[in-house]
Amino acid sequence: MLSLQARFRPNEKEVAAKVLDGEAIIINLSNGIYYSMDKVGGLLWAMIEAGHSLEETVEEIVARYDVSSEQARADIERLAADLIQENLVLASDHVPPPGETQGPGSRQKLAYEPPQLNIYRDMGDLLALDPPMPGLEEIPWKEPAAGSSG
Amino acid sequence: MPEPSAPSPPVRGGGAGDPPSPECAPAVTGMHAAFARATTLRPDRFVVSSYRFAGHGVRLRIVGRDLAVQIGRPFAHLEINETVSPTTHLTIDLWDEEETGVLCPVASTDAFGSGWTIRNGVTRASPDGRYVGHQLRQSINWLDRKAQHVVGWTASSKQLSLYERGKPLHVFLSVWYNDREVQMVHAGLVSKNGKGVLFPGMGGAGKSTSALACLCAGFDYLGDDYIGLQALAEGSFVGHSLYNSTWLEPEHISRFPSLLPHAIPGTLPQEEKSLILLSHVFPKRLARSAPISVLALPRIVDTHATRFRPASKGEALLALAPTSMLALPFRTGVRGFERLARLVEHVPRYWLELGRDLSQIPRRVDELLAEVTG
Repeated sequence: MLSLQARFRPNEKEVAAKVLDGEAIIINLSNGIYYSMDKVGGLLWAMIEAGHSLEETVEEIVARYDVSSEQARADIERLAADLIQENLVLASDHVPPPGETQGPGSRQKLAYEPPQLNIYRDMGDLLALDPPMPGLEEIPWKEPAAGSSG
Repeated sequence: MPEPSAPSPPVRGGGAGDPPSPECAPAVTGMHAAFARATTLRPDRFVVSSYRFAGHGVRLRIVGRDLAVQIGRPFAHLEINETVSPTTHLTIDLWDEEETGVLCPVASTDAFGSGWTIRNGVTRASPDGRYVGHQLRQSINWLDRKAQHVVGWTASSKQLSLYERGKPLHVFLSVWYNDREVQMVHAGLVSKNGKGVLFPGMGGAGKSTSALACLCAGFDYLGDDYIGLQALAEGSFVGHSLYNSTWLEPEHISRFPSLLPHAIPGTLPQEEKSLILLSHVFPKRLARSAPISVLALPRIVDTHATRFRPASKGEALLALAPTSMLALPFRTGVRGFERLARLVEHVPRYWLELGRDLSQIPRRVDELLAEVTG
């Protein structure tokens, strides 16, 4: 069972991700599977990127959305487990510096929907048929250092 | 529209005269020597032509008249007058064994670094990444990224596959363009009055249908499956045409009767689609580059009418990124993904829902351009 004190970081070696208007788009470059999460899921990814713990994420969700702590906690545990299962995040010890929360303050809370990790395997299935293609980062080619040959 | 000036090429020391990495010396040097021999033996078959690829000068030197025709046709819209050719940023030297009698000095690329199977061939790279080699049954080519030089052998132009005739040197050009911060993306692109409409999407989404319908209705055409994407300093984006070729299945061609007489059928079992070189059909409607004014995400729907509606940034990135990053010869990695994310953040995006009446597509795209450009 996950600890809510756990912190994670994106698996940057294999994953490219971006949060756009609250929606997280994630691509696993090693196997071609890609994902999307919106609203609460997008917030979770943004919080993970910022180095916040799951507990801090739950607090932020409760501040923004009309949801009980129990419900938010259960959903975040479930979603985090999915992210770990898909190898999108790794455990992290990094604790970010104290910063302002992004809660709505006195604004009306948003309607809550349980978050979902949408998984798209069509490109992954395609890649499974063919050998993996190289990344250009694998053949970066740089100028040799001054004084070396070649 | 005037092409954006090419960014300064990456600063590279030395040039073609530098010795190659020790592990490549026999292969690359031998290929250059064989090419030189071919030009000496058959000067009557030596063809030189100049192009601009994404604003960069490219010189194509081929020994073999039919090979020169086959390789040059998909680039015909990018050709320039040699007397005013710009600084050459890429030289491509190729020879045809059947026309010249000059054999390939390299039996295979096996002894040459890491290898991957791409497009029925084997691609290899030297440990330092400077050299990229691609071997097919009937051709062996090398790219020297430092000297900006391709040298290659073809057994016979008659043995070129339909893919090679439609998208020659695709593997190398994807590397060379990326070295110049031009990212190959899986999308179609048309333009009108210098304003570009990019059609991103998976195979079967409707990119070709959208681009070709617009071309037939008078838009300028830059591509229907691969485009070169360049981010400009001020945050805008330009799309560059890479080839003027398209592939269509028989039932798809029937929707565009004007293309049917120009269809070149495949001869191999896996060549189910026919190749069409649009420089033969609409030579005056092929543009080199266009600023990207709007993203139109095609989606085939079961209605008569075609319409458009706003799309989210996330939807646009989902339509563009997976195939652009995973289905092309080389993956561009996180950097390429971030460039695509900036594109969808910067440029307005809409779903283009394609109904059965294809004639409506160009009209909707016209309306879309008017909506975003005012």
